[in-house]
Amino acid sequence: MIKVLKDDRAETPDTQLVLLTQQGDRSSFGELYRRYHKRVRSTLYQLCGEYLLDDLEQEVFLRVWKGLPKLREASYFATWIYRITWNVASDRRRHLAKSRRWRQKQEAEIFSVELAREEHFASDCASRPQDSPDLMQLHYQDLVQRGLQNLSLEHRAVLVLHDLEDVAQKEIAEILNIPLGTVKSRLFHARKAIRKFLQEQGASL
Amino acid sequence: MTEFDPDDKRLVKFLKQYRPIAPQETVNLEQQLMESIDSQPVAVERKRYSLLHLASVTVGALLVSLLGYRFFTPSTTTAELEIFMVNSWDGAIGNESFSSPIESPETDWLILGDRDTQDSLDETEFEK
Repeated sequence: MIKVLKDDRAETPDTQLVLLTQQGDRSSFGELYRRYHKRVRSTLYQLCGEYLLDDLEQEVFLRVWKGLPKLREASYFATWIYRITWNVASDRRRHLAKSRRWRQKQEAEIFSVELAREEHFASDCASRPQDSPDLMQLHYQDLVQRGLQNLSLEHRAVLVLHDLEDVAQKEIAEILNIPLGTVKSRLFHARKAIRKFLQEQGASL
Repeated sequence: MTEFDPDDKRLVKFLKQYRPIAPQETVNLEQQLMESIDSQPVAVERKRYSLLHLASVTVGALLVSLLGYRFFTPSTTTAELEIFMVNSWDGAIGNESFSSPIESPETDWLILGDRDTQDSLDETEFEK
C-alpha cells in the first residue's frame, strides 16, 4: 500500500502519483495535471494552433483520467500522455477535414491575423529604424510558427516532439506507433523543409 | 538523441529559441477539469476486478458442480445392476404366472371335468 501525505505530493514521483490516481485519488491526478499540462498545451499549440486550445487540452486530460486505470506500466506515463496528445491532435485534424466550411473560416482568420501582424510589424519597422530585440523575437517566433504550419502534421509531430520537446526517437516511435526508421526519415525531411522555409524568409541559421 | 550535424544543431537551437509560446488559458482549466472528473468515477479498474471476481466465482461453481456429481452420486456397479434386473424380471414373471387362471393346475382339472366351467372360462378369455 502506498502511503503518501498530501503535502508531499509535489515531491512524489510520477509513478506513485499514477498508482494513486489509478486508485481514484483525485488530488494525485491534479498534481499530474500541474506537472504535464504545460508540455501538453505547448505540443497541442504547435500541432493544432490556438483555436480551441483550452478544449483540446481538457480533452487530453479527460482521456488520461478515463484511460489511466488501463495503464499497466506507471513508468510509461510520460510516453502515454504524449500519445494521447497526438491522438487528440489527429482526431482534430480528421474533424477539420470533415468541416470544410469551418476550415475556410479558420484560414480567413489566420490570413487576417497574419495581415494584421505584418502591418503592425511594418509600421513598427518604419517608426523605429533599428529592430528592437523584442520585435525580432516576435518576428522569428512568427516565422517558426508559420514554418511549422507548412509541414504536414506527421512531419510536424516528429519535429515538435524531438527538437522542441526533447523526446527520444525511440519514444516518438512508440507515441506515433511507427517504426524507428520512419521517425528518422520524417525528422530528416521535416528539418529540411523548415530550414528551407526559414531561409527563404530571410532567417539566418 | 540524434547525432546532430552542425546545420541541424543551428536549426534546432533557432527553433528552440523562437518556438511559438502557447497562449495562456482563458479559463481555470484545472478547476474545470477537476469538476468534470468528479462526475466520472474511476470505474475501469473496479470493473476489471469485478469481472475477475465473477470469472473466479463461475469457475468455482463449475468445479463444485463437477466434484459434487463425482462424489455424491451413488455408485452402482454392473453386477449390482444385473442382480437388480434379474430380481425385477423374476418378480414380474412370478406375478404374471399367479395372475393367469388358465395355466393353474386347478383350472386344468376344471376344464377336464366340467363343460360349463369351460364355457365360462372361454367367455372370460374373450372378455379379456
